[in-house]
Amino acid sequence: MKMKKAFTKIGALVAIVFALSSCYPGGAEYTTDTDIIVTNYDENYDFNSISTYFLSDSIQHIVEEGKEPGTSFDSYILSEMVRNFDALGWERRSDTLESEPDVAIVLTIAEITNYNVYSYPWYGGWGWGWYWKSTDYWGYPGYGWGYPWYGGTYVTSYTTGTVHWRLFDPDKSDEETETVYVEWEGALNGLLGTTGSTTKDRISKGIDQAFKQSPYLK
Amino acid sequence: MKIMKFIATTILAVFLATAGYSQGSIYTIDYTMGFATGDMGKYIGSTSFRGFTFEGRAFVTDNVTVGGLFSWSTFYEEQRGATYEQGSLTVTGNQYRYINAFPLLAQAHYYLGEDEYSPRVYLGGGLGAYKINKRTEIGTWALEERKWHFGVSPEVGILLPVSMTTQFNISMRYNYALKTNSAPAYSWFGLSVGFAWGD
Repeated sequence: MKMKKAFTKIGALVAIVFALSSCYPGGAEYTTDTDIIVTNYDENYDFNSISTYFLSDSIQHIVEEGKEPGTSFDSYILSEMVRNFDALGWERRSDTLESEPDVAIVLTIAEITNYNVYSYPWYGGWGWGWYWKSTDYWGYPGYGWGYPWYGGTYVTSYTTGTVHWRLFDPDKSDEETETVYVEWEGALNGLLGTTGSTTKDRISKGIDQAFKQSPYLK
Repeated sequence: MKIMKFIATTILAVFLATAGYSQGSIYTIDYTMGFATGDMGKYIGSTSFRGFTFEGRAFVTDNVTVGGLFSWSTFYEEQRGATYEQGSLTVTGNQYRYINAFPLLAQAHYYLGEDEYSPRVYLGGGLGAYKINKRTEIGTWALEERKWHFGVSPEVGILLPVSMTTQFNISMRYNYALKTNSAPAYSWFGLSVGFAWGD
């Protein structure tokens, strides 16, 4: 009888200690622990043919209605993108009216809780620099994005503070369906959700990693 | 899934029935460490220091017991800056990998030697259901898989008497949870150390 009581007590003790120790120990502790770098690309696109690119000087900010966008890191993000594209040996074209670049890159910063990459079509404020085909408007107003990897594994939604970019080939845009096809996509998930003294360092590391994990760009 | 729940319920019933024996029974409580092997070891290479095992065994002859087992082991590993690829998608971030394994087994053991007051080596094994919860956290995202598996578990151990009714129990168990249509196989060794009570 005594043994049964002891058994019960020890059993209860073991169960409590184990329950308190949690079945999900460890995990993220700091903001930087949650940084995620995502890239995706069109496996049928020939990235070796790229030698020139256009990178818009403006970044699209998606904000809650009535809120001002936080633009303090915009120029730094753009400069880090340029540094990495230059390292690929690509030449940046800033005046696209003179000659059309092989590809163009546009950036978005999401300042909303759930940023769905499929919900935001072409942004008029990207400061487009050339006329589309023979029409008299700039850029691709009203056009949606086409993702060649649709049907495979992809990410549709990101958290607040995500830096997201799309690379596309202007020659592959579809006028009939009004679709701009994305050949390469990158995202730093939630990186600007909280900002601090290490934010620039995280931006640099994140963008560097996005290029590093995309060896097909070379 | 229904079959696995049936097996789990049956084993629980056997366990409770065994625990209800008032004569010729052994109950054990063990602290259990886990060492993942095979593909599970590739996913989490770290040793599990979080685990326990409850057992109830009833003697059906002087050398043979039947009974039931419930165990819980938590495996955890952190991989900093790990890169995950699937198709054209690449994701880099800190990964926090977890496996919570819950074997619920019907068991049988054979004991060498006749003297219950001397150390007794036993050989045996279990058969039954394994609930495996696998979770991979990448940054703020999580992928989770909760599946029932059928599995087997050979075991070798020794009971070391410390009093008329209490014994130390040390055992090494190999757990093998078979793969399902949508989940891989899991395998690990469990080293258990604890106490056994007989009445």
